Amino acid sequence: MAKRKKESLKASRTKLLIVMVLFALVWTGLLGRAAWLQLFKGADLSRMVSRQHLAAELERGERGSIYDRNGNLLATSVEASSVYIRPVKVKDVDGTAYKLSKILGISQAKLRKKLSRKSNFIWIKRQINDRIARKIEQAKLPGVYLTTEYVRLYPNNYLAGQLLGFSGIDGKGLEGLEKKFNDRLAGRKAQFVVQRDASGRRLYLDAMGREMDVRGKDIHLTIDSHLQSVTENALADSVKKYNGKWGAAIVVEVTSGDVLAMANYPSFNPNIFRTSSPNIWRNRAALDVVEPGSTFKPFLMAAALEHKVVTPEKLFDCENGRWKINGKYIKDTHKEGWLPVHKILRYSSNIGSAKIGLELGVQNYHKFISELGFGHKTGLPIPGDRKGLIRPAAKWNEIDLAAGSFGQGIGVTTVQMAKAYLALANKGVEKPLRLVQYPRSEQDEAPKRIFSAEVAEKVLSMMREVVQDDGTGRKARISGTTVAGKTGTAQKAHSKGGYGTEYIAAFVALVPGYNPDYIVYMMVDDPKPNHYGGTVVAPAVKKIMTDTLAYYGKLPEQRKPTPVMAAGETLTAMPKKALRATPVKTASSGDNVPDLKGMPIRRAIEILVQKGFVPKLKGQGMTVTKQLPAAGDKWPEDKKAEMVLWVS
Amino acid sequence: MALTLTMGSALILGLVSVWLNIERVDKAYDLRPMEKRLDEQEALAAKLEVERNNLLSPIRLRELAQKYGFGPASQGQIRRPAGKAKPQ
Repeated sequence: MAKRKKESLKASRTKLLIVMVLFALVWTGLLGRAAWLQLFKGADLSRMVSRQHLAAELERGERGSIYDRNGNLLATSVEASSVYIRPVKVKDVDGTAYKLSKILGISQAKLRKKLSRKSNFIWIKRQINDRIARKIEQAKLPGVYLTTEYVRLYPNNYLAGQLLGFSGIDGKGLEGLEKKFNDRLAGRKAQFVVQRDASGRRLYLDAMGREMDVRGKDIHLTIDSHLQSVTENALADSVKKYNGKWGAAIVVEVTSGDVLAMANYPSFNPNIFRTSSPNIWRNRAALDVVEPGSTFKPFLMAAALEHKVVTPEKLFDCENGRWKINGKYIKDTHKEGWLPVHKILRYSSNIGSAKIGLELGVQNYHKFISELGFGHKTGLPIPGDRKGLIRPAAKWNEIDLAAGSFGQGIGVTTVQMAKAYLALANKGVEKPLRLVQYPRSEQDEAPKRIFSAEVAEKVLSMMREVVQDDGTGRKARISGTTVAGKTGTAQKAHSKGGYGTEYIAAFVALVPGYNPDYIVYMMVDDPKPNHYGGTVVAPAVKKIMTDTLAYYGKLPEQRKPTPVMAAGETLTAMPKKALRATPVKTASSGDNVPDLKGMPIRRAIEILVQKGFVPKLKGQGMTVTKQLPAAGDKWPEDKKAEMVLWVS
Repeated sequence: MALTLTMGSALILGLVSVWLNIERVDKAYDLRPMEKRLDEQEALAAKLEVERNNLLSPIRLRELAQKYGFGPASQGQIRRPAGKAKPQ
């Protein structure tokens, strides 16, 4: 009995032991497995979980916009769709090629070639318009996808094309301000992780790093799009009328130094920049270095007056238009004898200027023009801002000095000329030009006085004579205000040395002539058949000035008949539309021509224009003394019938 | 008694926490389409702004002005209300 009991206990112990061992094995296995998963597989499994429940998203910010001084858009980025394919997912190559070809206008052969490639990603067409994108979506083609990109748009098309430049398809600035300010304008990238559920829907449970502002920063220019357009039109008209190769113009506000317009012709549309030649993309106003010719003479006068080498009344012999110096001839267009300094500028005598330059001396002249900014970068944020070409003073000989005195043998840019004239208009104190309102640029140094206010006024006075008296700039006169100006007709240097038969016509105007508000500088390369700045450019500059003054509400009334009218610019030149724009109630409603004698010319014209006639004016003055048809005659039925008013 | 209250409070807090989390997930689901709609509206606004600027561009306005017989004010056509800037 005891033996059986002992055996039974032994068997139970064995069973218990087996169970314990089994348990121990199971637990060891479980713990081992857990340890294996945690310690060895943990990192991999964690990554798998992340892949399943988390998704990375990349957000690209749009490029910043460019605005003019009034907040008008000059350049901006908008969303556009781009088409790409994953050839491995394309089921029907021929069918897909056919449908895509129909929607996108790409040849089927080209599409088939792309669709047959063994690649995971191929662009088909980038930055398509919304209508085409919708058609692609509706076609539901397997393996064909749309993605969103930003496309750069310039709403004003050609306006300020060279100044703004353009950016490439990947949103990188390639030319102009787009290139210069690329770091500021470019949109940034933000990468962040979001959770997703079992069906792949994304959950934004917190900001997850998306609080970062990825949009590029804007810039605000000093350019006024209206004045830019006015300047571009006047420049284009002038270049086309005189068959010029190219032209550049700039308008500057004196009080602020703001560049209101910077124009180039020929122009191009940055929206479709690839359709024009890279040569046209150049911002010639800032990059092209040319000999300024006589538009440089006011700076010679300022230097000579500042160094007290001359007074405005000091006489120089202009050698009857031809003067030999060191074996070379200097010629004048007009043959003049003895002239005072102010008339040397008025009639633009090269010989007189050369003699003033020789009295002034190389060192004085070179230092003076260097202080005005010639030979130095202007500091405007334009890629490739040029220094111009002013050789060291030590390398100048007598001929160089004589030629440099009338703006030959030196190279400057349009922007440099505007900057130097800004110092003149600012009474001899330098002032930086400003092209960008915001972000503001730091000014390193306090403005420096280059010459005295008295000298500035004397030079301005001489420049007023150029326009207001019988100088070379008469065609820039604006009745009712004074204009200070200077013409320039520079000979172009020949590539093989010496000077050829090509010219650069230029004109600079400061308006009003006393205490100028605006500076307008324009040049036209190789105009034909006429090449004089006073003929080719002055009328265009006048157009810019009058439109600028009108835009700011500063265009004055015509005070009285001026020498301009006497010279043939009569009121008959007034456009019909302009006259029609100011209807007045007059005694013209009857069937007979009223008596206009004794009436102010303006009122008489209003009466005739209201009846549909534009009169011819004869004589000078503001009061009608005689009329045709006579008072009391029937109104002619033919609106082209001759109507004449004699005025005195 | 205190133990019962503590356990009850813990249970309520737990339930509130669960409820808030469910709400949070629901809102997260709603947020995505709303963000998408906002992006679409912003993109449309940007395109309309470009269109507006294109329609108001100086070149187009000049063409329209010429078509309808308008032009820049010439001398004698500017009237200034009393007290405003005077002609020079």
